[in-house]
Amino acid sequence: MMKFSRRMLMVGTALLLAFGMVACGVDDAAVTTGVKAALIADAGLATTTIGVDTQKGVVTLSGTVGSDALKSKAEEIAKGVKGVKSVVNNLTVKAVMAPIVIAPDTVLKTAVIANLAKYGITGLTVEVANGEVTLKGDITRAKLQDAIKAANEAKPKKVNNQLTIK
Amino acid sequence: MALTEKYQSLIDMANQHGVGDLQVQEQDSVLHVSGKTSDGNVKQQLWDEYNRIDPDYRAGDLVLNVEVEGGGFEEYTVASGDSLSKIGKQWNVNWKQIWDANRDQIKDPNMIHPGQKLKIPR
Repeated sequence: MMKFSRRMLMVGTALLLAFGMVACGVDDAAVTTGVKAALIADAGLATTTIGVDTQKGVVTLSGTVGSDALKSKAEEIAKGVKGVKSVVNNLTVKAVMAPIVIAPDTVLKTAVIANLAKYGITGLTVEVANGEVTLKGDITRAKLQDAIKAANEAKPKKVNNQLTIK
Repeated sequence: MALTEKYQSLIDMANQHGVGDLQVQEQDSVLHVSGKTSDGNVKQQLWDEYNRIDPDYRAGDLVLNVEVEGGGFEEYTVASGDSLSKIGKQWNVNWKQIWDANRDQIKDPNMIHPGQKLKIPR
């Protein structure tokens, strides 16, 4: 008899737990909202779009972030939100490279002309506008590559080769 | 990422030769490839590969900047009217150093001819 009632108690407890879990399921949407709010509140993650999905308290993060550090940070933040049991971190890391800085046009032009002289090339017209270098004039096939090197090694935005190859 | 595909062989080559600080970045429809090497031949091979992909360099979709660091050589093509001292001044290298680096092909330092490819020590 004692044994039976203990079993009943266990079943009852299990039922209560199950009910509790279902009740929690109702809150999944609230957990999702909470996690999203917490992520947006973080300065480093505010600009990234992270997908948040919650199933029975298990939060799955998806999307792309700029670094491994941000990936871990998002997970830590999500874990700290009330109602979150565990976090499946499916975030992918894609490094965002800093944009290449192009020197001002006057600096570029000086550099291209100096480089041309280094490669022993004179008499070409060098035009620079908005970071783009345009080479004009006549060049021999043998010196063409050196002329292009001279322009490239000034690190412009773009090289427009309008040279006439003789 | 069509540009990285177009220049994939060049990027692979740079990786194989251990080009340092290699950066491959597309910006405003131009692929910027930069890095450092102590071997001037590596720089030349990369340029020859660029030349193979775009023989007249007309596409204007690549900015290739491979710097040769100390101990390496730059390749220089002799133009008409060049002399070792003139080339030396252009590269800020003593003409004797250029001669020494090219003893295999320069017997008389006063005799260099257009189209000849010289190694310029860096």
